[in-house]
Parts: sequence; structure tokens; C-alpha cells
Amino acid sequence: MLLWLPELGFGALLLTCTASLLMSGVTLLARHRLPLLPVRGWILAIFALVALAFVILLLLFLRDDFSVLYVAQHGHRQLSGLLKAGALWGGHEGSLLLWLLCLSGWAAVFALRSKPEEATASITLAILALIVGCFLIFILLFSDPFVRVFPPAVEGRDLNPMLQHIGLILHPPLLYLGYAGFAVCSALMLTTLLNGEFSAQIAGLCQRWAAPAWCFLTAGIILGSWWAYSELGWGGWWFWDPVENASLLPWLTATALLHSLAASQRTGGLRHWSLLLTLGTFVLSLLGTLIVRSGVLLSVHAFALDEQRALPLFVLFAFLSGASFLIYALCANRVEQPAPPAEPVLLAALLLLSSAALIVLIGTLYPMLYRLLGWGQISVGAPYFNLVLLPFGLLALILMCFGGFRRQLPQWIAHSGVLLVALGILCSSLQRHEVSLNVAVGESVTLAGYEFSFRSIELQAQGNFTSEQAVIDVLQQGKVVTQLRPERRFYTARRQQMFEPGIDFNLLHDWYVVMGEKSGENRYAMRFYVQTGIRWIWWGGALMMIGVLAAGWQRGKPCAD
Amino acid sequence: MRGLAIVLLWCGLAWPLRAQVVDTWAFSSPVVQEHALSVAAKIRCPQCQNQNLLESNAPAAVAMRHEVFAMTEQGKTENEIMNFMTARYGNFVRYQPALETSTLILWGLPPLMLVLVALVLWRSRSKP
Repeated sequence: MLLWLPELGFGALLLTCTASLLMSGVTLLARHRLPLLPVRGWILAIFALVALAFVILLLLFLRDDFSVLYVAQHGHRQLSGLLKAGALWGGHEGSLLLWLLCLSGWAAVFALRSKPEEATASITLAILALIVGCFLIFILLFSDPFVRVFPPAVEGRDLNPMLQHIGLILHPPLLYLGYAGFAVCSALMLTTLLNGEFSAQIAGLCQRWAAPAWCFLTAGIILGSWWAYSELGWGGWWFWDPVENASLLPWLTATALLHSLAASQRTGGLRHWSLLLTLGTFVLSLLGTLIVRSGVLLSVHAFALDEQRALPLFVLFAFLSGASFLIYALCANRVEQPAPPAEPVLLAALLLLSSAALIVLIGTLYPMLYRLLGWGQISVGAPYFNLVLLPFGLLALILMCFGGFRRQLPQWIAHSGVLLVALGILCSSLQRHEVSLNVAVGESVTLAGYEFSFRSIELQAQGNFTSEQAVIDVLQQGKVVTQLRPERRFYTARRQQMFEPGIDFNLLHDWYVVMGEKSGENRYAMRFYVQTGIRWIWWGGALMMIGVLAAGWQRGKPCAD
Repeated sequence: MRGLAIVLLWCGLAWPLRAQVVDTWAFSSPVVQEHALSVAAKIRCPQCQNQNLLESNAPAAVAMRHEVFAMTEQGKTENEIMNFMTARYGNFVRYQPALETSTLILWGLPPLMLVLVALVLWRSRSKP
């Protein structure tokens, strides 16, 4: 039985694909009649099958089954159990399976929380099953994680050391939970469009799913940023890399969506805003997973996973997003309800957030378009984005200070979070000290009022790497504030050297040391940073999440259903 | 996030064992250092995936970085250094694209959006 696990996993995926396409086809084609199939049961079965496939892949990683190509590419015997689980989504195939698990998981929760006789719910679930089915067609044809390799590999290639960090193990699941949550909102809105009945109640329902999805997405982005800060060794927290932008795009539209849905559910207004922002967020999430993961965006000059997979991925993306917007175009004007005009402050916030999203989108895609037009090569990076987004950010902040603090406590918490983030960005960009020097054991470096004293070197061997660790005391006016331990690691499986910065912080400052090349006996090239306010950015993000969750809790309280 | 990009690149390439991760260039003053680092951060390494001159350890990036540092020490302005680098390595190395006909959309869109936002707000105000 255990010998045939990969085949069992493939079978489960095959069965899921058939089931989800069948269920969605039957339910959608006969949507004006009573539901023919017990949709909720089917969705739960689909989730169970995807979960089975996922657990099988996990087992293969835990059992170090290197006869499976994907496991051999990303696993290694010496990885700890947690890292083996993380290695599951360290590559393309596994991360798509994770996406699918999140999507079917959200669908299952939606099924459990809806009533069986509701027509809206069954159509929503059918749309979700259709998305699952489309994804599965792609996975089965082009991105199967269960492919065998003969003869089996003796040892795995190991998870990339860059990814062996708790921040990046949790980052993809959180991000995908966010993305998939917006798929549920989107399916709900598409159902509304097909039925031609947008109401304050639907907006409230959508908000209930959008809020947790937004929190997952925010948590994912914060973790990713924290990982980049604590692993890359540049003391920076955001690099305007296309892959980062891909997660920022749905976040911007989703943030606008939360605001628009809040107004929609109060007054029934802002119908088009809510509909378009939901669909837009979904499409941008797809862009985030499919296009970026496939390398289409960046393949321009560096790494395409392979050309064979890029085209089908693009077709999948174009089909799902095209179908969503087509339904909007055909059905949006069917029922025009009179609604009170939106508050100008809110409208301005929506406009600013969507403009920012559009600018980031164009800036991210521009190098690719530029090349497609045959104009040559161009780079669009941090200086451009910082410059052009500054006015939008400042205007949004001013607006928020005028209009965002008058309402209840949850809004107040969330908006203070935004202020804290803004303050963190401001301080960290203005108050940044750095110096790079060759330092020997026993020497000290003074930077921004702190003395970094290099005490000793410790050699260690742990699991799948060996390391040299520098012990550095940070002193202020002769008193030890903290001890930092930057490391140079050597990962034997991939023969890779890694540099782990030593970092510590208090409420105000971050101390950050990177240990570089050995330049003599007990002497190393080292880079020191003292930064202000970096943590406020992540704490601010956490405050925003608390605010959004509190708002959801407050809304759920009076009408307990 | 950015890691995924780097990782995908790294899957194919071995990490050079003698990489220069910490550059101990001795600047004449903190002001010069700040200026030099900010200019180098705006230039893309032509050999690497998506890294600026500070982040990259590729030999070409190290050479270019030192060129930027040396020019800053000579008192050259950011514009002069940028123009020199663009003339030598092409538009690709500029993280902030120059304003040309081909980048009109890139530079025109943000102000256009600001005007549009103002216009929409004005119209919604004047309506009863």
C-alpha cells in the first residue's frame, strides 16, 4: 500500500478533477431549476480528496521517498520534520497543490456555513468547484507533483537554504489562504451578478469572507517582509521586486474592497465598486500565483521554469479572469438600484487605493511589455515606485486622518495601524546608519551611539549545515544592551554558503550585523546597521489585522446567525 | 517573496564560494558614503536576476559598485554617474527609467491618475 502512495495521490487528484467539473457543470447548467446534486456533500468530498493528495505528498516528504521527482528535487534526509513540511511548498508543483488545498478548504467552510436549500450558496459552490477543476486540469497535465523518477535518487537536492526559515515556511500558506479567500468572495459576487440581485445583505456576506482573507494576506506579506529583512542581509524590508509586487497588488485592491463593502452594507451603494474590486482582487490573486510562480513575468531575461508550462498557465489565467469580467460586463447593468451617493472621503480613498494598484501593476508589467514591443530592455524598480507612489500615500494618509478616526473602535485600531506603518516607513528611511569594516576578535566598532564589540568566534555543526558564529556585544555608554550572533553557514547538500545576520531590537532601534568574508586570522568583513522604526511597520500591520478582525466580530454580534 | 525569485534562479546556479558579501570600501566621510550607497542602490546589476549593485555579489556588480564609489569620491553628482552608467551599460541598468517617448506611459500615468481622482471627486461633489 505504502509503495503505491504517489499513484494513489495522482488517482485522488484525477477523481477530484472529474468530480468538480461534473458537479459545477451540472449545477451551473441547471441553475434555474432545483439543485440536482447535493452540492455541499460534493464540495466536502472534493476537499477531502485534495486533502488526501496533500497528506500523501507530505508523507512522501517525511518518508524521504526519492523515487518521486518532486521530493527528490526539494527534500533531504537531514531536514527537520518542520522543514520537510515546508519543502512541500518549496517548489512549483507543491505550491500549486497547496493553493488548491486552500481553495477547496475555503469552499468546504463556505459549504458548512451555508444552508442546503439556498440557491445562491449552491451556485457559489459550483463556481468554486469550476475554479478547482480548471486548476486540476493544469496540475494533472503540466504540473503533477507525483511523477516518479527511475532509478530513484539516492539523496534529495535539499530545500534551498534561503527558504529554511520559519518566516518563509509560513509565508506561502498564509498568502494562499488569503488569495483563495478572495476566490470565495469572487464566486459569491459572480453568483450575485448571474442572479441580478445585489443587496446590502450580500455585501455583508461578502465582507464576512473578505475580512479573514484580507487578514491572511496581510499576515503573509508581513511574514515575507520579515523574512527578507532577517535573511537577505540588506537591512531592508521591501524591495519592489515583481514577486513582492504581485502580493501587494491584491492587497491594495482588497483594502479598497473592505472599505467599499463596508459602505455597501450600510447603504446598498457603491455597487459597481464592490463588484469590480472583488473581481479585480481575485484576478490579481490569480496573477500572483500563476503568472509570477510560472516565471512568465520575469522569464524575460532570467529564469523561466520552462516554456512548456508558461503558455498553459497563461491560458488558465486568461480564461478565469476573462470569464469573470465577461459575466460582469453582461450582467452588471441588469438591475440598477437607486442608491445614495458615497461619502466623498470614502470615494477618494477608493480612488487613491485603486490608482496605486494600477500604477504598481503597470510598473511591474512594463519591462515585459517593453520587451514584447521590441523596444529593448528596461528596469522599473524601487526609486520609480517610491517616487510615484509618494503623493498617493500622503494623500491617503491625510484623508484617513480627516475621515478615518471618527467611527467605532475597530476602525480606530486599524487606522492607527496604518499611521504606525507610515511612521515606521518614514523613520526607517530617514534614520538609517550603516558601516562596513574588517573587524578582528577583540576590536570594537562605534555606530550611531552604540558600540559593537566583537568578543569571539564559535564553530558549530547542526543538522544539515556547519556554521561559524561571531559573538558580538552591543554596548551603550559602557553597558551591554544585547548580544548578536551573526553566522556564516555552509549547507553541505547544495554546497551553498549562507549568511545569517545577527539581529536584535528594542522599541525604537534595530541592531543588525552581517558577517562576511574572512580577511585574516580571526578577522572578518562585517556590515553593521542601526535602524529606527523597522518593527513599527510589522506591528502596524498586526494592528490593522486586529482592527479588521474586531470589526468582523462587532458586525457578527448583533445578528448572530 | 523576493526570495522566490532568487531561489528559482539559484536552483540552476551554484553559489560562488568566494562571494564578496560585505564590501569594506573605505569612504572619506559618512556624507559621501550615504550618497554613494544611494546611487549604487538605483543601478541594476546587468548580470544578475533582479538585484541592485549593493545587493549583488557578481564580479560585474562589484566592479560597477566600486566605479560608482570612486566617482562619488571624485565629487560627481548622481546625474553624472547615472548618465555615465547608462551610456556604458544601456538603459537596462537604471531602476528609475529615464523620461523618453517609450516611457511616457510609465511617467504619464501617475499624474494622470491624480488628475482623474480630482476630477471624479469634483463631479461627485457638484452632483446633488
